[in-house]
Amino acid sequence: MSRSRRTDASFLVAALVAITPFVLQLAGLSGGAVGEELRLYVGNLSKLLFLILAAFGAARSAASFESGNPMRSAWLILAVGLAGFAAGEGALVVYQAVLHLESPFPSVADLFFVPSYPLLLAGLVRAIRAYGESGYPIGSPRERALTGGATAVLAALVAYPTLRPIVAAPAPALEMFLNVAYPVLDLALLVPVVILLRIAVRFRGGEVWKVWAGLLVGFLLSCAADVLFAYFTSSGHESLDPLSDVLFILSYAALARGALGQYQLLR
Amino acid sequence: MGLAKTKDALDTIVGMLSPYLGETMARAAALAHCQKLGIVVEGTEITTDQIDALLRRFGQGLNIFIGREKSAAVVGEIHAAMARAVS
Repeated sequence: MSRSRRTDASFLVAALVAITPFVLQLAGLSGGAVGEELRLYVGNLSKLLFLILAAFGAARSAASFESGNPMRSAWLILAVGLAGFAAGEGALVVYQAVLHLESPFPSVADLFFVPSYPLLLAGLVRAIRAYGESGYPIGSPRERALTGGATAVLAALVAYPTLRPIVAAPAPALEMFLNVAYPVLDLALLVPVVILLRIAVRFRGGEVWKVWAGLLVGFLLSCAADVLFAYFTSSGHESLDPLSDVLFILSYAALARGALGQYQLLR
Repeated sequence: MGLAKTKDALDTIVGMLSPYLGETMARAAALAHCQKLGIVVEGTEITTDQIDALLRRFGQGLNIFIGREKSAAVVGEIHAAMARAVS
């Protein structure tokens, strides 16, 4: 088995183990107090670990690209954004797993999560530009503009019905702002993600494809998880929150796999 | 050292780049680079200069995907494989 396949298998097994307590809860097998503890620790720590691995993989990739290579700055910006996500998740771990408190919302974690989005957006846009400069047949700038435009329109169509109940629900101003900001930022992130997905699919079968498939699936799942979390919270369907946890864990595992994949490819 | 058939040379390049770029992209890039360099693929033999120009183009773009060091190593392996094929 190649190193790449071993990495794929390790991430798949780790992600499946981490989501099991949440899937069992969704299936009605909550496991009582033990299940609750398990979800608290496995959920929090797996998310944090995957995000740290993602930030590490992105940072090592940035360091491994030679200076002057446009992908170096793309990965550096992505690394800072992913490190921000990891710091935000770290704050949640402290609240929930160390202090045994319900994590407040808004909290200090949001100070890390929110500024990470513009960085991730900038990193992905930089990567699109760099791939465009490669001289390889990745499609025309016009095709990329059309894909981005179509995605933005679709995102707006999804955002309107999703955000309406969130805005209508009574909530303090900052909470309302964040409940709207997360899905909006996620949907904004989808624009470069879909453009990159369209580029990356041309590399299917190769290691480059695995890198972007991991990152892009990660961002797509993270977007779905944020939108669902905001929707469940505002509509009183908290019993479905474990679904958000499952999506977040799978998302962060995919981000880590993608970023480490790029690092492995450079070594 | 004789000249290689252009199609065979491209098959060698595609075969060695496919693990990184996937076969579809490797082949599409090979054909696109040949077109830009004015290299006719079917029924011709490729010269050493043409191979060098082709691999230089491949290498420049490959830097973006796998970094300069790995790109140089892969291009070196392709050069070696071509030399073995025609010797």
